[in-house]
Amino acid sequence: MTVPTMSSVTKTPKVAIIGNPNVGKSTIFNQLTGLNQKIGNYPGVTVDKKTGTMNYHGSSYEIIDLPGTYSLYPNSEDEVIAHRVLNQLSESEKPEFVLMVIDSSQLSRGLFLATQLIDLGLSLAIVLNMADLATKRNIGIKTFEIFKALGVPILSTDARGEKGLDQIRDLIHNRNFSKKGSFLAIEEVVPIGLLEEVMAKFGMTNTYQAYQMLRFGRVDKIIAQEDRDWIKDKLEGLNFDLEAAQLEETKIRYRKITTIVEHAVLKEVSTIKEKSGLDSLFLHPIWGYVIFTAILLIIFQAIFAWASVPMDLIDGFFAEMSGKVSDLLPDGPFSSLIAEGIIPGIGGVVIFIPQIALLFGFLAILEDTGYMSRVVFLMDRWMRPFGLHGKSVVPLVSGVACAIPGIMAARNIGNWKEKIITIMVTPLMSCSARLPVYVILIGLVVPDRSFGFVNLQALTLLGLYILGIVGVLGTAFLLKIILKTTEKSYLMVELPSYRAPRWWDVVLTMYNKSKTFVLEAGKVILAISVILWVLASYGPPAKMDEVRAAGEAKLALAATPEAEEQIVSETSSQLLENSFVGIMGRAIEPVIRPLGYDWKIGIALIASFAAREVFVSTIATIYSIGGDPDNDLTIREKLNQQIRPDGDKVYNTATAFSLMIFYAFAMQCMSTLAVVYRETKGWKWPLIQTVYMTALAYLSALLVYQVLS
Amino acid sequence: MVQEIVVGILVLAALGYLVKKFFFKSKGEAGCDKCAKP
Repeated sequence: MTVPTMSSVTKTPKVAIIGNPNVGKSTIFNQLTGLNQKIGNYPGVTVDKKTGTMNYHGSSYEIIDLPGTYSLYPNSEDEVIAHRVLNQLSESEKPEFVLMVIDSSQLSRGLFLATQLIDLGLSLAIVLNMADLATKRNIGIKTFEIFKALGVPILSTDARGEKGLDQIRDLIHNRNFSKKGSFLAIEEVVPIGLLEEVMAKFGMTNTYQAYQMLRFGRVDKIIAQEDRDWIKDKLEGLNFDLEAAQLEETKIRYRKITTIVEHAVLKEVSTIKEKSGLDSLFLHPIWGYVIFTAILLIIFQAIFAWASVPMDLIDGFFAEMSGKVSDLLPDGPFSSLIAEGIIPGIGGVVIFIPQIALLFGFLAILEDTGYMSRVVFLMDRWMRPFGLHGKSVVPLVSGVACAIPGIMAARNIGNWKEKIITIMVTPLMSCSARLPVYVILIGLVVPDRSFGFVNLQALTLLGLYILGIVGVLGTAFLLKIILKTTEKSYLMVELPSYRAPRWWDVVLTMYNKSKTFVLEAGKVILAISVILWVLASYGPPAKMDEVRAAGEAKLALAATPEAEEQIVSETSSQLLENSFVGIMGRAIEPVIRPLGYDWKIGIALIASFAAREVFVSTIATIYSIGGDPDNDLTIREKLNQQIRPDGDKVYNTATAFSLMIFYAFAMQCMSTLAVVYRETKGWKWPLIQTVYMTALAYLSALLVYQVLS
Repeated sequence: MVQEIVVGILVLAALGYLVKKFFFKSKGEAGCDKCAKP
């Protein structure tokens, strides 16, 4: 047991949770922290840093959920993070305690990392999770044998079944972690003189940490250039082969672990039988794809059917609120900004919470049940001919929610060419920001009719998502031909056991993602709504005064209330047309006219280049400006009322589909461009991406409009 | 007049937020070097 240090008494103790991927780390993290979570970035990289607070018996503990890793030999950026956090030189930055989570049925693999952590001299405790699965597979573990061999506290838990969680809380609260010191003497494979020199140079006290610095410090850009050069010179001077040393270390470590496992594991039954059950169906060469397609169809059907009721309520609520606020506040620009700019803008954000929560909920279920890994395996053979990798499926499926985490997930792909292709095509997947645009436009032009149990609107939505996939595959194929590399590629994916989803985790994901959408996208949408309202309400003063004067003159001559109403409406429309935003919209009208768009849609397109989700709030603002203050129509009703000079609806079938196709392909997200810039370290790829996606969007929308109109 | 001033402040705040959001990324978020593999 560790005696509480001064730092752990005076400040909140930091506990890092680490383990191999899919061992239940996040489930334990969620159970310990509940809603007290926040997501940030690790310094130096964009990998999500999930931290949370555990409150227990009047004390608080900071819990860090580290990315899954198999060893302290980082191969991907996620693993680099875990490596950096645990190898910190600064004691204040380093977690005081480390909770190592191991899948009870994969003991050897988990112990490999655990013994490396012991060698690093960390205060450690081991959690043997998924005890229920081990029991199901007839695997008995003598935890005392492991404790005897490693000398660190061991707990057996089933986090999904909420068994053993109080023991984890007690363990953290009592600081029942142990610093064993060493499992393997690294001096057996690396000259002690070299290790001592590194320890002296960097002020270390641990030989294994010195070895880690030798092995990875020279390529880690977080280490000062001067220090990296020093390590390089040392290694070159001694002509020492570190890769051979790593191989030797791995062999010795596994040999020792095998002895422990032989003593600790009572019985291990082959898992082949279990895998042949559900996998024979989900990975079937025909049924596997049929099931995958059916699952996608069910998701889209649910997004439409279940979300429509709360969406209609939210839409109606904001329309009514806009009218009420307009009545209550005194006339003036601020009142108009609230009623015509801010309220419709906020409404344009809040209305999509039900759909976004549902989409993320479904994605969480697919991930949590272990099905997503099967999709990676299933799709690999179809990805290869297009220059993609089985692992590209994860970025692409994540791209359905948002391209940003999707592009960041591409860092799991080791092959440079496949990674670049994945980054370039992921924004073509229909993200959740496109969903509001699709939903509004489909609702306007596609009848709400069903064929059997399949709804026509849901089918159209699915069609748009499939179109995104076609765009992905076509573009990837072209890039495969253009880009050249000699790197070889392979697929290695772990198929985790099938589990029932943890509903609390699903709910937490839905809550966190919706909150992020409202707070992040919402702020941008709100800021753009404010600016847009000003640009739509003001214009060159002389021209605006001229329009107002002409309107007043006509109004003075009006004979009937109907004529007066007609004149007010015409004047409002002319004021908008001559406003700053109207001038911008009309400037691009010649370019977008062949796509079936008028200058008002042009304004929405301009605003959407920052973030496509502002489309709905933009048109809501534009069509609210100068409208009847008592008019509390919903966004969809307002769009449906827009008529062209020739009498046809502005949002007819051809225009609506042309718009949907444009939004399906266009690069309209500055945040995505910023992430592509960060991931590729330059403007070359983001620029190529913007140009090709805009060209693709324009040409496809042109084709669709010309064919349908 | 008061309403105009409030609107002006709000517009400036909105502009400031957008400029900060899209043009001033913190250096701490720079990409990992592993991703810039040639």
